[in-house]
Amino acid sequence: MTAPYHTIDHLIEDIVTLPSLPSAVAELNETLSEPDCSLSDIGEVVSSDPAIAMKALRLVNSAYYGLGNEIGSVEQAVNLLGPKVIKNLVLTASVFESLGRAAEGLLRHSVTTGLAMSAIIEHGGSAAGIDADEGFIFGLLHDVGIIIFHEFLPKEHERAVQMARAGEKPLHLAEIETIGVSHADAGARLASTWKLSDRLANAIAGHHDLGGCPVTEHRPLAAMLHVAEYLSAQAGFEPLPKIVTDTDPEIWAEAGINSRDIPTLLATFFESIDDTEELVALAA
Amino acid sequence: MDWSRQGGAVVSPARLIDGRAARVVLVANRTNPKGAMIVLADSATAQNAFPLSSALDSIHPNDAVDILCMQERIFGPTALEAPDVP
Repeated sequence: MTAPYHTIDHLIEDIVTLPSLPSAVAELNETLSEPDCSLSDIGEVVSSDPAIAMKALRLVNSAYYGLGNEIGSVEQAVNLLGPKVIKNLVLTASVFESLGRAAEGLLRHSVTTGLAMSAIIEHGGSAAGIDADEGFIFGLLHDVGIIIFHEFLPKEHERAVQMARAGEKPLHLAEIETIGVSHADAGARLASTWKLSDRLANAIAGHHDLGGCPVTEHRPLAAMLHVAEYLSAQAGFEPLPKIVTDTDPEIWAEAGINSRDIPTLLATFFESIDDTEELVALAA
Repeated sequence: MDWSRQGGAVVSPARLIDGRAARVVLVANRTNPKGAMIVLADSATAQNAFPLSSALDSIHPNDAVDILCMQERIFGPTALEAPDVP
């Protein structure tokens, strides 16, 4: 069967209009790259987008951040948390803003994959060069390609979903057959378009097939993201109803995780699950 | 794995990394050291039953995740949805 679209470029140029990331993220990146940027400059940029500022405040006061004392203003958050945490916070708030169109089940899967990725990073995955907050963003965005397909190619994607449900092939391969590219390809392109880090885009690209990750040093992150998605699905948060998430046995070695690590890693993940509904509500 | 209920327990056949057949028996949550047991299939005596925590090196990571998630969903205190287990 010939796929109707042959390349990601064709898909992006002719079929899909990728959502744009709130301008606060780009402006914040620009401000942070200036050597003489001050905390008040950062506060000003975040406050310039009221929707993102409000979401960032809800997020920083959520149980997920667990700060204890309520933070009432952007300025207070910037002074208390510092530029790096604020950057992750604004990006996370912006991603939640962009995920608002996702079906609730997929949103729950994305949030719990983020929580699982944070747990993996916390338990030894930090060697991959990201911290737990950044790991949460990796998980939050890993299936954003599915949201794009739902919006622009719903019939073609439904055919792929039916193939996966019938057990004919995994979802990402069924997408390649019916659409021409997988949700991992589309999600990686979105991350690049949003000028997010290469390691995030590459990890999304390889999260179902490590061969899809174009940079060897980013493959452990792609493998960790795959494991995080598996943990989310096994905990009952499948990306789509009745879609089985399989794992390739080699993934574990690439992610640097063995069976002995799993009880403590899962305990951290399970303990964070109670944050899910509060985080899902941030996308609404 | 292929889970089923047997009385108050939830059980599944399993294959260890070295190829031996076993059964996984879940009876309590993860705070109980014997809440998840691995029983070797060739001789179901007390000597051939091990807590999951001491048998992890013999279990593939996929199965370890499956076992611990099932244990949490059936017996755990978190708000995870319990799966349909026949």
